[in-house]
Amino acid sequence: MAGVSFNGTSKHFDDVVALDQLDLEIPDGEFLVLVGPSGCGKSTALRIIAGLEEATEGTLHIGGVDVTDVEPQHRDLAMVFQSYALYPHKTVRQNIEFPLKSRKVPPADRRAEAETAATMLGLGELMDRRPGQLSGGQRQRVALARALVRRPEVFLMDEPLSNLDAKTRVQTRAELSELHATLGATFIYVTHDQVEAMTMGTRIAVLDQGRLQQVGAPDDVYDRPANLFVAGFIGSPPMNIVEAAVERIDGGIRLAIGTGAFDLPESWGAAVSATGIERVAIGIRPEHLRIGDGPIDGVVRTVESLGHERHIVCELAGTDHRPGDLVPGDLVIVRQSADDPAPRMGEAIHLGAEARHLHLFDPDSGERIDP
Amino acid sequence: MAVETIPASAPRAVPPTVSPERRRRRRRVRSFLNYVALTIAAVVVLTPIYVTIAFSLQTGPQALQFPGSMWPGELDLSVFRRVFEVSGIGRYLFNSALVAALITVGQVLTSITAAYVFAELEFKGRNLLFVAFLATLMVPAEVTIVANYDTIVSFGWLDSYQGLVVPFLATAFGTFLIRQAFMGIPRDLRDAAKLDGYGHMGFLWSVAVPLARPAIAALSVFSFLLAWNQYLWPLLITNDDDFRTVQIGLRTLASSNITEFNLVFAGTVVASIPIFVLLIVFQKQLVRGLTSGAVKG
Ligand SMILES: Nc1ncnc2c1ncn2[C@@H]1O[C@H](COP(=O)(O)OP(=O)(O)O)[C@@H](O)[C@H]1O
Ligand SMILES: [Mg+2]
Repeated sequence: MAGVSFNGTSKHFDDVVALDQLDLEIPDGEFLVLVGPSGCGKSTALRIIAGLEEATEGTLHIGGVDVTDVEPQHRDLAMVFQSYALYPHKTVRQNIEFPLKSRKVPPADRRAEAETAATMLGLGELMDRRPGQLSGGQRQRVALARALVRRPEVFLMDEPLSNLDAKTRVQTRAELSELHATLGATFIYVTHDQVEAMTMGTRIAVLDQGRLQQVGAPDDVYDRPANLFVAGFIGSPPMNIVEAAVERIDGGIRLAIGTGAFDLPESWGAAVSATGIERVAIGIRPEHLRIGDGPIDGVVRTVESLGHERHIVCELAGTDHRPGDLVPGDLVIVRQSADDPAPRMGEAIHLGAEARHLHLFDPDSGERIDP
Repeated sequence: MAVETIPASAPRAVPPTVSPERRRRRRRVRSFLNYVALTIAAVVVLTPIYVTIAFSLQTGPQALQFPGSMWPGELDLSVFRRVFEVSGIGRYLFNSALVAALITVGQVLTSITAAYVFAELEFKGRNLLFVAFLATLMVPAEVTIVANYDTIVSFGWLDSYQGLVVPFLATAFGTFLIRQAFMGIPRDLRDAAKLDGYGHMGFLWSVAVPLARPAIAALSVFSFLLAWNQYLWPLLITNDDDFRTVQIGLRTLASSNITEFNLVFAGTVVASIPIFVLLIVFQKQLVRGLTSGAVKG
């Protein structure tokens, strides 16, 4: 049994706070994805679990045991590096056997274990090649085989797919999920790619600037982002965020956007009033915006067709915050099925969305406001 | 391991005003001058070697003449047998080989371990210590020779292999060269080895050393060459024929065989054969180890 938990764990590099008071509980057998933009501290968090980096503050537990001061080789885990970190002078077989060799596994067993791991990943033919003679996808598999040959309780992976082409990446994504199901070990997977996070994780943990922003099942994070950062980071195309002035009306509040407004019932009104703010940031996912009848006025600026769907960029009427700019107003993206009738560029339209699809945030703190 | 090199024909920025025709001519002139320079250099380097071989094949009196003939006498190779008979050159060669081999092994081992410490371990004052280490060892041997001599005398190591070997067991050049190679090893490999269960020693011998092979090969050849060609130190601390190295032996040969001067040249030829073999065998590594230094995955 090997869950992993961070307890107020921080890492400072001189002045840089790479990880800031991280509290995170990863139960045994979970596939947790650590996701966030480049430089947010993902690799640092992973390296702290591996023991390659020492926490400045706080502790780390693996399987309920405090391992903060335990050397990497005595933690029962394996890691797949972004660079794969294969030993260039060793053959595939020697690379896979290397972790067993240090643990004094007899040569015959070593060979058998390496064969098993290699077969699992379809490397049978390549055992006598050197890493330099392999494609990116094959190297990635060797790195995986080297990790799983020891059957560790915890697998750490640092952007293992980022050096692969798109097709191999999709395939490997599925294989990794399969591997997780087969092995039943704890997987902790780092990526900056929110699509990978959404598709692979049992839970995802979103990091920004060393701080944990939100942790939860992918759908929960997508449906209820905890703050503006998560709202903008998870989802592609990203969630539309526009600021609106708050006005009290009979039986609720009115959120004015340019020439139009959303009216929301009193349950929202109370929540917004409680925060005492006069402006809110409204978040609406592109697939939740409808063109047709609706309270918001806009003009179509571009229509991007992706074949199966369409992204329509609209400028909101009456929001010209930046006079003199080519596009002075706020832009939103609408995601349409390719079957819907396509609007023309320059066409004046009305936009609407259901109230349950609106996300409200405090524009200053970025925190989510719930009715 | 791909070593990045700039192709010899890398395009150079040429002002656009120069016509292709003139550019071509200029390039031809330049390559002609290159060949002239290389030819002169080759003649300068090869002449003494040729003369040595030619003289060794002349008779004693011929070799003594001044100005002598540049042509070998008859092609009688028995002189090379004779030089072994009249002098202790066999023993000298053995001594040189033994001493050079011990120095080489010693230098490679100390350089590898010192380089690893300076490249991989983190401790306070590491850089200061490294600079100090380089500085002490970069002092020319002539400066320290008296002090070293006193030390060796006080150890009672005159006329001994220890005396010939021990003062040369560490080298700043070697440590520097191998440290560079170690620093070129990606950090991820070090980290992967840690997770694979290897401490410093395991990583050093199973990963770092194999990856630094070109630099280590270059250092080995250099150490051997330098040790083989040593003159002043062995001259100073050996009197006993049993411990003389071949360079000193040649000197003795030259002063005691005036009548058969060709023997001296034959001895010189014999003494340089191991070096030639070494250079030919390791030529590639030598160039690669010195030019690339670093290793690439
Ligand atoms: N060894 C280091 N020395 C100094 N700063 C570092 C070091 N490693 C990481 N950092 C800094 O810590 C922050 C987080 O880095 P990292 O964890 O690698 O981010 P990510 O993997 O999310 O891109 C960055 O600002 C980075 O510059
Ligand atoms: Mg990273």
